[in-house]
Amino acid sequence: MIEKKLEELYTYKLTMQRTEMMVASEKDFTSSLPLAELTKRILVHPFNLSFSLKTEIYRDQASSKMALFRKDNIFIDQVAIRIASRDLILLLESNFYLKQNLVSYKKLVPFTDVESDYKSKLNQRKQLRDDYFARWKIEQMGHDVNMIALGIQLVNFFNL
Amino acid sequence: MPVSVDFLFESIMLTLWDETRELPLTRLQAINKKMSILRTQDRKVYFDFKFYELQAMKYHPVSKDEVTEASILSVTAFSEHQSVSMMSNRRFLIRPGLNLEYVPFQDEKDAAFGKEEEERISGKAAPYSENLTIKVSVIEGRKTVNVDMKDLKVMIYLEEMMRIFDFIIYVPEPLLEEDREAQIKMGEVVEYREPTSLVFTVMANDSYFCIPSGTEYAIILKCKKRYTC
Repeated sequence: MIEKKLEELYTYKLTMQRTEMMVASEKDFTSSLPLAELTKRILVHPFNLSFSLKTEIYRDQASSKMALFRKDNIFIDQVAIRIASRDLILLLESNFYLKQNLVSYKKLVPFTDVESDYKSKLNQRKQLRDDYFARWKIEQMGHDVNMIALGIQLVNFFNL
Repeated sequence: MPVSVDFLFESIMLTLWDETRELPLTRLQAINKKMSILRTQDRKVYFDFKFYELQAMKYHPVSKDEVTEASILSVTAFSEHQSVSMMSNRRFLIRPGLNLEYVPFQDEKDAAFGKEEEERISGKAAPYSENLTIKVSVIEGRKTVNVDMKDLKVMIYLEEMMRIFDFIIYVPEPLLEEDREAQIKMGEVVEYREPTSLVFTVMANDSYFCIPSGTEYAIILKCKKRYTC
């Protein structure tokens, strides 16, 4: 018999109010120029977004059953996107730049490699963690997704 | 026995060192910091941190023992109408014992900028206000973290942030063992690796997040009121 007590394992929430996406000069952004005076192009007009991901569990010590329940809630306000062809190029360049940086990050020596003694102990700890979860029969019992989107408007500009 | 402790600091600097590269990984600088710790009789623990300003820096090597500094995160008293420069360009020599020694600017214009920076860092430029508050509570293993920031400017260098995160989660095993022994002594033995609840909330008012593109222009996300995760 699964315990009646419901425990919250973890919850992630993201709420972004009056969020907008824009393109501006990086130099202006990092300078002391007041941000309200940035020369900018708005890509996504202010919108509201909220997202929550909640995972709860029932645990039954006797039968070693752990039942997982997930509840996702997503709310997206009306979104207006105005994007020019040069913005698409900038988005691609940003994506490429991020990937390049991530490649260099992955080449860095991990901190765990500094001391081999620590590395072996961390492996032991990982084993202990795996052993802990191995004795539970984890079963996902439910996954509710509620999504509300109030509309989207997409305008694309091409420079001719 | 309930315990309540209050601290007040003018300025605190915390430098994280990347020993794999023999370079400073990041430097966190908090100004006018108030810290309160409360532990109640029923073992509820509350931490309360309040700052006037918070800066995070990253470092680039320019020679074997010299680095330059650039701001990656800034929480200040200034509104979007009075922004703060994130271009520091200050130089430091790496001295034995992992010490950073500031190299004064040679150029007059840079020196004036440096002076302005130092005045701002010393907290003389604006009256005290609580621009960053962090509240942490631990109640029966359930942790709640609330972070509230005003006028936040962030450069999202993903690789730097991931490296800092790697640093934070890497805790040498002897320290973990010591912590566990301390818990046992205090009679707070919990099942090993028992999942516990954590609620982490960030609220950032009038915040700007810049995603660099490697070109002159960058994508900027602006959140006017609230950003939570």
